[in-house]
This record gives sequence, C-alpha cells and structure tokens, in this order.
Amino acid sequence: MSAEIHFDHPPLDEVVCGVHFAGVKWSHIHFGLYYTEMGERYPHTQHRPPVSLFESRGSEGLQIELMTEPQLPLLWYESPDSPFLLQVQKDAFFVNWRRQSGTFVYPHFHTREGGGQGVWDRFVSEWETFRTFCDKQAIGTPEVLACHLAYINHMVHEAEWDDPADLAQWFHLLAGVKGSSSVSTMNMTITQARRLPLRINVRPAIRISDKKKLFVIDFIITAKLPPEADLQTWFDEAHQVIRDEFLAQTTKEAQKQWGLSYG
Amino acid sequence: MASGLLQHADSLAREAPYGERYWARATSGTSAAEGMTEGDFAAEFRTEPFEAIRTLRAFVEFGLVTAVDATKWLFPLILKARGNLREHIYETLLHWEEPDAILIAALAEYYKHGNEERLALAASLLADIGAPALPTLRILVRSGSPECEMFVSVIARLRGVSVQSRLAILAQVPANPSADVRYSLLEALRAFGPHEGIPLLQTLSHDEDPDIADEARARLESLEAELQQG
Repeated sequence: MSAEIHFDHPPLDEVVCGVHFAGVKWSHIHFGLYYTEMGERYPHTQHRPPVSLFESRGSEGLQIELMTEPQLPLLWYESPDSPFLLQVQKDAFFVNWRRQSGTFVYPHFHTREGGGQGVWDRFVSEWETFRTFCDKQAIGTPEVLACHLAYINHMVHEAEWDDPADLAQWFHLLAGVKGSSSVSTMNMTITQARRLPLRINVRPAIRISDKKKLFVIDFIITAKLPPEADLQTWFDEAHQVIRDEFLAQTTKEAQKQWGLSYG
Repeated sequence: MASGLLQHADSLAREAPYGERYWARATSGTSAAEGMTEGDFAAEFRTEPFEAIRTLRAFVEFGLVTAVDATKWLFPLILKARGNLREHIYETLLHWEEPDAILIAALAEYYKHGNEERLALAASLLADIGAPALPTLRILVRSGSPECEMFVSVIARLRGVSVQSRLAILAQVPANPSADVRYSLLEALRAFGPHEGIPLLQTLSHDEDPDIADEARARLESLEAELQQG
C-alpha cells in the first residue's frame, strides 16, 4: 500500500461505503426490527425512495420490472451526534460519513492511531451487525454481488470559486470550463490498467443549509465483487484508485491549499 | 469541453469490463440538492415562505430551475400573500423578468379560480417590466381575448417603448369582440398627445357599441376644438 495521506481541510463532504447483496428475504417489518437493535445509536429514521444503484447500462435499452408487491423503501438510520449514516434497503446497505458543521474532522478511510473510527472500519462493523441481524431473523445470509465507494467533494461558491472557470485552479479535469452550463451534466469515466472503473461526476447544486452554490465532484467506483475477492481487498483497491486519481486530478496548488501531508 | 468529455466517458465505459452492468451515482446522504420540484418549493413555502423564496432564487441563479418554471410556481402564491411577503414575491417576479410566464400563470389561475386581482397583478408586473413585456402584450392583444381589458392601459403607458410601437399594438384593440376592452382603449388613449390618438378615436367613433362611438365622437370634437383654439 502506498504512503498514507492527510488533508487538513479538503473539500470532502461525504464518503460512502456500500454493498449490493442478494439472498435476503427482507420485508417492511425488518426495518422496524433492525431499528430495535440500532435505535440507541441511530435514533432517527427517514424513509427515502429506494436507489437504483446498480442499474444496467448499455445497449439493452429500457428494462421494465413487473412488481406484484409495493416497493420497499430505503431507510436512513441516523443520529444528530454522529457523522455516520446507515442506509438500508432490501438489497443494499451503505454507511455514509458526512461532514458535520463546524470544524472539519475526517476520521480517514482506515482508522489511524489517535483518530476516530475510520469509515471503512465503521462499515465493517455495521455490516457485520447487519449480517448477524439477518442470520438472527432467519431471513438468509446476504451475499455481496457488488461494492460501492464514493468520495463526494463540494467546491463552494465564494470559498473555492467565484466563476466556474476558477475550478480549473483546483481540478485539472476542469481546465477549459467557461460557465456553469458547460459543467451542468459533465461526467467522465477513467479506466486504467486496474480492474475498477472510476467515475468522476461534476454537477452544480445548492447547499441546503445556507443556499450556497457549489459544484459536487464525485469520485465513484461501483463494480462487481469478483468471486475470488473479499470485501477488504475490493475496498482497499477502490480506495487506492480514488486516492491516486484525486491526487492526479487536483493541482499542486489545490493540494497545498487543502493542507496535504504524507505519512 | 463537457460534450467532449461525455463522448470520451462513453467510449471508456463501453470498454470497462466491470462498468457495463454497474453504473451508479453516489448514494449521498445529501447536504446539497441538485434540483427542486414545485412540490418541494410549495412544501417549504407553507412553513417558511421567505426561506423558500430564497432557496428558489438560489436554484434559479445557478440554472438548476428555470426562471420560467420558478415564475409559474411563485405567481399563484402572491394573491394570498400580505404585507412584506407580497412585496417580496412581487420583487422576485420582477427580478426574474419572465413576462410570458407571468401572463400564462395569471390567465391559468384566473380561468381556474376567477378574481380579476390576479390579472391586475400581472398587468402591474408587466408594466414594471416595461419594454421586454411588449412581445407578450402584443400576443395577448392579437388573441382578442376579453382579458385584454386589464392590459390596454399598460400598453398605452409602457415605458421604454416608442409611441408608434404602442399605437401599433393598440390599433388591434378596436377589433376585440368585447365592448369592455374597446371601451378601455378610450381611456388609455389619454396617455398620448392630442394628435397621436386621433386615428384610433376615429376608428372607435364607428364602433358598433353606441356608447363607445358617442364617447369617441365627443372626444374627437373636444380635441378638434382644443386644436383650433391652440
């Protein structure tokens, strides 16, 4: 593994670790039963529309799934005291780390000495709890089909840029941007010698808390878990791909401004 | 640049062995919103109207909601608003300057619920928008609808528009089937100098409605007397 890096104040807003799974007979009641186990740490829930995270893409065209039962939602389990959020739906499980207001404290991907629990370690622990819950309920053992790792960065108006063209000072891939319209639907995929395809999306958005304009710049890897691979190997590789590409796609000046250090 | 990147991305995605089936957006527990629906806006407006307008303005400013849509969402809410909120809505609609959307929203609401105040508010907004509202007003007059009545005086006084252009649009008003609309032209012509309004008064003096025709003839006689004295 390459040297660990640290940023004092990066544009990172959120990190998501998740898996798509099969083999579990999940129903409405399990959201409640799961809450009875998790409610002490994640007292608040929110119903959300289920995500079609692992959608087909390519030339096969529109796919229609006939459903005989109401669609099960995605549920958020969260706590005002914690930067971590659990997202659960019948065939997917995610742990999000979200930036809290105030001082930036990111526990890193892997737990570091003297720091808080890393995102990966929190994911492993919550995933294990979830698997145990499924076993206990006798609804099957989740079999991971694919994994998802996303780093979500926010480039905020009047903090990092005044004109969208200023984004080129931070990200090489945005060199040549002239106005917000030209980045409104930008997305690109970078595939390298590695097996995992990295997708970078750039989208305009509004920060809900203060209505600030910003650009969301996601670094996302979503891919099958090969039969021979384990979760840790997949996530370590994905983390490294995103980390390396983030360093490659950001300017030296940006890295300096964000307080990059090694080791 | 963006389209170039998209093409590049598509070609790469086709080559990606693990990318064909799985293609995801980040599953964000989001602190940022990339869009807004009328329902989102209406829900926030019910509890925090000023904040909802602030949010909507931010979305419009960043191109995530069009000013046309935002105008159509906001205009219907002005009627029930009072005091500062009504002023704030009015200023926001003026700021977006979408005369077509204002008129469409006003007419739609009026046809659905009645109440001429809706049309009066739209007329006032178009008057304050000034010259950019001219094409909208031209289309309205050409439509020959009875709702033109509220807008005839706006056209007559529209700032930033030449006398000739205003009169050219008003020249279609005598053909409007509604006597109320044609009568409103008599009043609106007071906005012009004595010579400027004479051709339209002459047309109205032959109006099928005797009240309009009589009034137009009386105004013509009065103008002629003034001109002779002057």
